[in-house]
Amino acid sequence: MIVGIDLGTTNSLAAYWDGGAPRLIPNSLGTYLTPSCVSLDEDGAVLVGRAARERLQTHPGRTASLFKRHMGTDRELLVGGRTFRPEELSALVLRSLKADAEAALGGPVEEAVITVPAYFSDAQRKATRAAGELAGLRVERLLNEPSAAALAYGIHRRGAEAKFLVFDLGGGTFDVSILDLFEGVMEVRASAGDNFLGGEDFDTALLESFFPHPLPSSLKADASFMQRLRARTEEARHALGASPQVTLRLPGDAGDHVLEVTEGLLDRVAAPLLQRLRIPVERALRDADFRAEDLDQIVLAGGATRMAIVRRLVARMFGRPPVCELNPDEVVALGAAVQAGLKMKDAALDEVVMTDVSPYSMGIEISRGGSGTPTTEGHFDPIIERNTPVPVSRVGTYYPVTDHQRKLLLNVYQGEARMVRDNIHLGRLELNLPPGTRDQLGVDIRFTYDVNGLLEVEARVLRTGALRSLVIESNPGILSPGEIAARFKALSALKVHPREQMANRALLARAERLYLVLKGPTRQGFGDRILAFEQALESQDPHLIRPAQRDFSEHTDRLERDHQILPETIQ
Amino acid sequence: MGRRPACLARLGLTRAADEQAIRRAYARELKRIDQARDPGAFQELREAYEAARTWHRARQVGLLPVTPPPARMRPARPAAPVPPTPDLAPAPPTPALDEASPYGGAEVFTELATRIATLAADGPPDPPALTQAFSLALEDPRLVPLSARFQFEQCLANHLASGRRPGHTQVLEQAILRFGWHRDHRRLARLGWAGEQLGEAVDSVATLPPLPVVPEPEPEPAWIGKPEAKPWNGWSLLCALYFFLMMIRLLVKD
Repeated sequence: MIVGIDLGTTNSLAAYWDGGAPRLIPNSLGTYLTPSCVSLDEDGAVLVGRAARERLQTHPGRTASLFKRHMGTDRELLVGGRTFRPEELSALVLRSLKADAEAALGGPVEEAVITVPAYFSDAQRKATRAAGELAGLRVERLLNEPSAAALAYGIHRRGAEAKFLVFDLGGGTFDVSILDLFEGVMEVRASAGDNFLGGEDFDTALLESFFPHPLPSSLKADASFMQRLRARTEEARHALGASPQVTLRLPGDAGDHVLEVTEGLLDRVAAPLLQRLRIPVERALRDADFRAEDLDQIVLAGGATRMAIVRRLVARMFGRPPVCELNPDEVVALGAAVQAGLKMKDAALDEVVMTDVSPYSMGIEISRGGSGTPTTEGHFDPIIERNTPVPVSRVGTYYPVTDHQRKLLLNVYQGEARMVRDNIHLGRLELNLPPGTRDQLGVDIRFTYDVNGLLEVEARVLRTGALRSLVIESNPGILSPGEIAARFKALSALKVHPREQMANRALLARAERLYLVLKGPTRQGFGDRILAFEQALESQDPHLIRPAQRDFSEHTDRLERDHQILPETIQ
Repeated sequence: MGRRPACLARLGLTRAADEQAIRRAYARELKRIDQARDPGAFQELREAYEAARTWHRARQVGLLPVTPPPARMRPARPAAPVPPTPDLAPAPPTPALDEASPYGGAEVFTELATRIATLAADGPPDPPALTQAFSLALEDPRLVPLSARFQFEQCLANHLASGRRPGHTQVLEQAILRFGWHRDHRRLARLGWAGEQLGEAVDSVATLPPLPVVPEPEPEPAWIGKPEAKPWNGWSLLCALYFFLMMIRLLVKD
């Protein structure tokens, strides 16, 4: 069985193809969204999901989140005194989803389709694939997120002809894809995006606006307070859709901090972010060779598209309201499950096929000029233009600058700028040339780009037939197969809380977070209850745990309601 | 009727095929291919499909009366139908947005052009004033719809490509910074003839000021096709000659 996984910046989901439709897989708490958070508890055991998300506020030093943003870099994150690479933290989330899928499907799950932002680079894609391997999953396919969303929409209208744009604003990334649907073919015409723009950036912008007034800048050093503030800000942002003003109350050492969050404030702080949203939309439309009026529908995906300001912007840009029939949080995972069905050659999907494109241009550095005009270096010459249908293999023939040149340095770049210094360097290759004049020393350079968005480069000296291929894996942000095997072992040695205990762990984490904001005798009484529940858990006796859990859960819910943990809204 | 182009044969079509038939045939053939396992077959089919569409479009051009583009903006193009070039050419870009289209972009541009003309009336325009004029135009609510914005950019490119006017360099710099022309080679290409004309100017302006981009951590200058140091440069030749003469002198002395 192949499962589809949406490995998100804030939340991750798993789904499978059941022969007629994609279905979401619930986690151990019975919900579909698993927060992409990892925490190590005091015994060094791993907690993933809701429990870890609660602990972000109570144990910020032992908990990690938003690590998708560091995928493809060699940055290491310190969690509970141990360093992790972003791939490893992602792998722990994937492991938890894998366990959920195995529990739901009643069998082993070893293969997966994992979604990535369409605008993820080569290094980021390789890191995602490594995360899958570290979780013991064979990654059958890396699928672009907006393409997945389009599959989830397109599957219901196989016979139709339509052109649509997917506007996918997730927790940390933004993608735009334009699709042409005809005769059962879902053809991605163009993708564009911004890998550092998502719902989290709107929270950050709001949060920054509270400093230095009404909150003193000194509070920024308090990690626990900042995590609480971030969580409450996010809740406030969600609540803003329903009411024009939200009041946040955060307990502090010298009394409560009261913060007013209004639509006007959000409009003001989000204006630069909204400007950035326009750029990929314009580029994708241009590349697809469509006008805004040619599109039949604008489809929303990603949780951050729930924001009223984002929907207003989309409506104004296209002159019509966007469509949101499927839950934007779930649509990418559903599409990944459709792709898993396609991979398994499911009979119900016989008449469906999707083609995708390379989001970036890939090329080499060249010199221009010669024959009278001065030679200038550093020009970018694309061999595979962006938004070319993949898989694709293209060859360019290049010549040295002078006669009898003995060496050729080949620099491979990804990007769109006309000069290479504004593009991303992917790798280099040195070629030895035989003696000869420049027109005798042609070199064929072949770029091959596969369906997963991974690049291979080969160079052949035409005169000698000598072939060299470029290994781009040497990038410091990418793990080698040997390193993956070693880290797989290390990760497997980590203790993981058993699935059946996750509900209790999440409840306990939520209670601890609540304990922080309580005061006086209520706090003391609640502390005693937490201790009693922990003792019940330690007894490992189901007859003792079950009633204790029910009782404790009800009490926590009541206390949370009474203490207005959800932001109070003013009508 | 001539011979059937190879791309049509690959799709199992005759010369009578229209756009719809080409799409349908491509869809049918695509479903027989496993893209991941057989990338070569996919690429070959894709090329046949694109060539067939180019062939069909070229035919359409031949069948329909051609309306000449405004001479002021674009170079004269042959009115004769483009001969079909199957199997190699990518789809021709559709003509860029016309200045006469019913969007607000042209209007906003005309206002900006007037403002620039006033600013550049006596000498180079004052940079802050020019920046402000551009900001004012780009923040205009008439430019919120995408089509209007595209039109504005096209008008600006046409304006710059159609000749030098007072303040040309400063306006070009603003345009490059505002629309990121130096950062996106395809964006200029989409501007049609004007983009082509501006390409070199964009490169030369873009190399002068430090542009706001993250520098690569690669300090070593990278090049392709730079000459190796020649084994016999002037100095070594001179030294060799000197050594040679000294030897002869020694030999002659003896």
